[in-house]
Amino acid sequence: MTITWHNHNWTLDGERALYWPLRDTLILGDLHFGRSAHFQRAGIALTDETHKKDLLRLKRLLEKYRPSTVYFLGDLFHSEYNAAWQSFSNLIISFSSIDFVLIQGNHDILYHTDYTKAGIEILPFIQEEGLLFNHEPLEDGSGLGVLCGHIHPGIVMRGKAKQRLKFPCFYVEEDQMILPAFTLLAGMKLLRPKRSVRVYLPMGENVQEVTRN
Amino acid sequence: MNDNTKHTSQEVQALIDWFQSMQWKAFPFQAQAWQANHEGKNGIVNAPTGSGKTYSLLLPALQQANASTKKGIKVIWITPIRALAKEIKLSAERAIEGLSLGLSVGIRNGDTSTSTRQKQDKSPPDLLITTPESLHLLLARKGFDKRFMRLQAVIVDEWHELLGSKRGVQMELALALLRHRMKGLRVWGISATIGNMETALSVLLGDGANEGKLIRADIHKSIEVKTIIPSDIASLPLAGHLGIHQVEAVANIIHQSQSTLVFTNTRNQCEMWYQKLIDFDPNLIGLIAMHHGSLDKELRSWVEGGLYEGKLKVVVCTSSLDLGVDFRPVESIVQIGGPKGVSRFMQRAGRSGHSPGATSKIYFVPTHAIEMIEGSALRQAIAENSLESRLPFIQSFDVLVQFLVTLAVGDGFFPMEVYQAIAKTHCYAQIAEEEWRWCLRFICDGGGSLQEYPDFRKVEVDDEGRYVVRSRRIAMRHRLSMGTIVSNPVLWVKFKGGRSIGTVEEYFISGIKEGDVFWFAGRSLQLVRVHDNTVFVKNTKRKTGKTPAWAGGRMPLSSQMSKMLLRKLHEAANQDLFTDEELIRLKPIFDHQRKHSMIPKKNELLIEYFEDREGLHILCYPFEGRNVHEGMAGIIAHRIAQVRPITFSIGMNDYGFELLTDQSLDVESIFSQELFAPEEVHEALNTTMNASQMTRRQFRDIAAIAGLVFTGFPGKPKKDRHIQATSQLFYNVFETYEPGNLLFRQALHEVMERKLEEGRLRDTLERIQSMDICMVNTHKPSPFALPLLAERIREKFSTESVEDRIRRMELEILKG
Repeated sequence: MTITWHNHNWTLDGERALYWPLRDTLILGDLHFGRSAHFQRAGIALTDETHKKDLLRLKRLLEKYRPSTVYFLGDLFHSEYNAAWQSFSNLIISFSSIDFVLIQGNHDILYHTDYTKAGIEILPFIQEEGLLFNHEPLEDGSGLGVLCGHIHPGIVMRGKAKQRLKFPCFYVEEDQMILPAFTLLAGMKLLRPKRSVRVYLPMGENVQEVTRN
Repeated sequence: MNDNTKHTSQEVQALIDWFQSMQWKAFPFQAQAWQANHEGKNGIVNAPTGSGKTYSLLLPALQQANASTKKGIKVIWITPIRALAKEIKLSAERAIEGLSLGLSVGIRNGDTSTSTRQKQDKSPPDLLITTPESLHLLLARKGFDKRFMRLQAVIVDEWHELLGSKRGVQMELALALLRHRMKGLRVWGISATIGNMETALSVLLGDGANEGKLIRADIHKSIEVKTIIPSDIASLPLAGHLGIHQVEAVANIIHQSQSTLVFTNTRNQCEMWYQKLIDFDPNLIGLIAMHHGSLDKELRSWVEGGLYEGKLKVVVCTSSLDLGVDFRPVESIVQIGGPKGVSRFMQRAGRSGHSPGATSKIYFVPTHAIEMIEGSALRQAIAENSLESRLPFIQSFDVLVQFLVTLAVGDGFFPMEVYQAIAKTHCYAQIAEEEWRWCLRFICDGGGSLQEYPDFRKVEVDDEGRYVVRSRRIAMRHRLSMGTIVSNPVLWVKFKGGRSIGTVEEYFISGIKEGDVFWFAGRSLQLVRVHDNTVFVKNTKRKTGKTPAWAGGRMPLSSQMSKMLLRKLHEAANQDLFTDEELIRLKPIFDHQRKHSMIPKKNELLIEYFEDREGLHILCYPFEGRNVHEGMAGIIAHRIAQVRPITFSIGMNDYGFELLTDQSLDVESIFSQELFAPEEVHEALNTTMNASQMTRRQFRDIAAIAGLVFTGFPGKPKKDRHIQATSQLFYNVFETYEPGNLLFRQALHEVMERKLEEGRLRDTLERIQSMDICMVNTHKPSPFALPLLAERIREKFSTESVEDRIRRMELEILKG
């Protein structure tokens, strides 16, 4: 699904990704790789299946869009260095034609050399084309269009007969677009949007806009 | 004296003499038990609390222990409740003095100090009073032979309470091992009357049950049930479960009695009633207290002490005061809302009028009008002594793997020996060799999908083939986690100064902010901050605030109660048979039900339906308890949805279930006997319930017992709150990658057997096959429907695509 926001066209992908045709850039929110390994160290062992699934989704997206650049909007890696980083960086390295940029989030605590070895550039934020790419949402973007992640936005849909469903979403305010967490493992923060907010639900195959009446 | 004691041995005569010197009279069952003990038999003494059951088994065990002068533990007395230990110790010491025996008594449980434990290790008491968990902790220490070589007898108190629980399985395992290693060990249990006494015996004694003796006390108590019915029946609400409107009637009972216990069904209800009673009559302040499972232990023991000393006039409580806690009989017992089980009700009633021959009186306070029937059903059940059975656990692999690690942490074990021991238990009599090997693999490397993780390599096999734990860290973790059964994630509630008040569930706290006020433990508390797993609060004078709710704890209507309730309903259907006061008073409501719908007769199943703003409501009333209704509703929803994609919201209570949908259905043509066919129940439950939260919840406890999740070292609670949800992640892993995992299968099985009561569900469906299905379009809710519509906890069922559903939904938005 393609939308216009802050004078740019954007393609929303059902696999919780955002594509920016102008700069041929793929933008991904909170990936939290290495999270299951983090659990393990806390005394809870988990198999890495969700990790593998997230890796595969990332690989498919990179193959689908073949972007020249990828922006990770922070919280790329959940914790300290562990084995999961290796499988992730191997994948990144195999796409040598793509520039990977990490906008540093609160979870990104690896050594800078770990990122650079994988060919990932780290920046605190990116400002270009009237846009600001940041990890956390901002109260005031000074007129820039802020693209961010961090909070794992989600919404609740209600129907007749006491029906209630929760979904992760793209949460598009006038001056701020909050991306859903890319990882399937994480929970979400449920928001109750004002009328002015546009909400899009990534459904895997496609994206569904939430219409208001 | 009765016949059994005519040919008494010297030992039994000594006991009779001592009783006479104390001016006590030995009950026949006591004399029988003494005799049987001295003949070296095993068995169960079936006697109620306060009947002298303790001395029936304690005395002969002490006499025999006295015959040996060697040092060591000779008798182990298991009590499921720590609070009982002191009472037992006092009784034992009195007997030791009275019978001039040279024996020592020790208590070992969670309250025992380290120094006392060390003293006990050096110089073991002859009689050790302990809990199932603490006994297992002893098995998790080195030196089994030295510790237990003098053991002659194990006595398990309150066996009926342990029987249907995992702690009962723990007991079975410990007993099996002790019996296997100590030939001639005597094992006795004490149990209140339950519906399946024979099973209780065979679970306690395993394959030795055939020679076991069942000694019945036959002490009958008469119980009078009085239902509190307001003079104006219309003042009773038609739905609801708190019963607060009857506060005046309850306050009157309290005033007329020296002392009163008010039993409630949930902790939330307990908090509410406490507040309302104080609001109604502020003079009760200082004389009223509250007791429930989420309150801090110290607070609870203070209340128990107050009851014991007779300082408190009234205690509002939950099932936390049902068993074990020993206090003087109170004058009046009040039960708020249906107790759902006959045994529980009788046990509560038994808290009053302890003196032999006295009548126990219990007041039943219905929370809504229809519930009044339960009063008359209870009276009938008591008259017929129709008591519930306790269903023992079978094939509990979680407890088995915990036990195996326990042994490995201790002296280590050889699989063959342990296999021989456990195969004699009731729980594992059917264990397949395959399953046994899986358990051994699981403790060594986590079995299937967890093999990659070092944390699951707990047990190693040494050169001699002995299974041992070498890592001190693993051993320590195991000891700490034994006996912990986690339920919902809880947070501690403490004052800023550090004094602990109790626990609340995480989801409750997530709904309130700093500065907000909530009610807990009968106090109005202001939330200061939440740090790690602790909620810091301070007292406040503000009076408006939420009261926490705790999940679970709601028992379904037992099948005994269900039968009686249906009988009463059938009496109501036929007006000539009205005899009970409750039914007579309910007449206006029955008339109303009859006018708008109908009252089903014995061979009829009532289905009501109507449409309103919310959608189409379909209500079905089998009166078989909420568990059966949950499963049945799932099956029916599943079967309807086979034909067309549809979404249901499902509500249930003890009387029936509701299917609510936003689509229109031709109810009259869809509902038929075929829809209730008893075929493929198991498969249908599996497909409909597999994804449901139920199995996940069940798995949570299993994962904790089996040592998959670790709840943290004391004083160092885990920081990450998200870690508390990890049993769910294990569940996902097993579900997807290792469906043969025995712990995962056990969760499914336990849900089927216990939560969904598959057997009872199938029986109900079969019964429906020969019934007439009566469908009534009521156009609006009938009196039967109202309590059901008010149920807030709902299940979902859908065969529609998410996309289709979203189209008919609206976004939850911020208003204004």
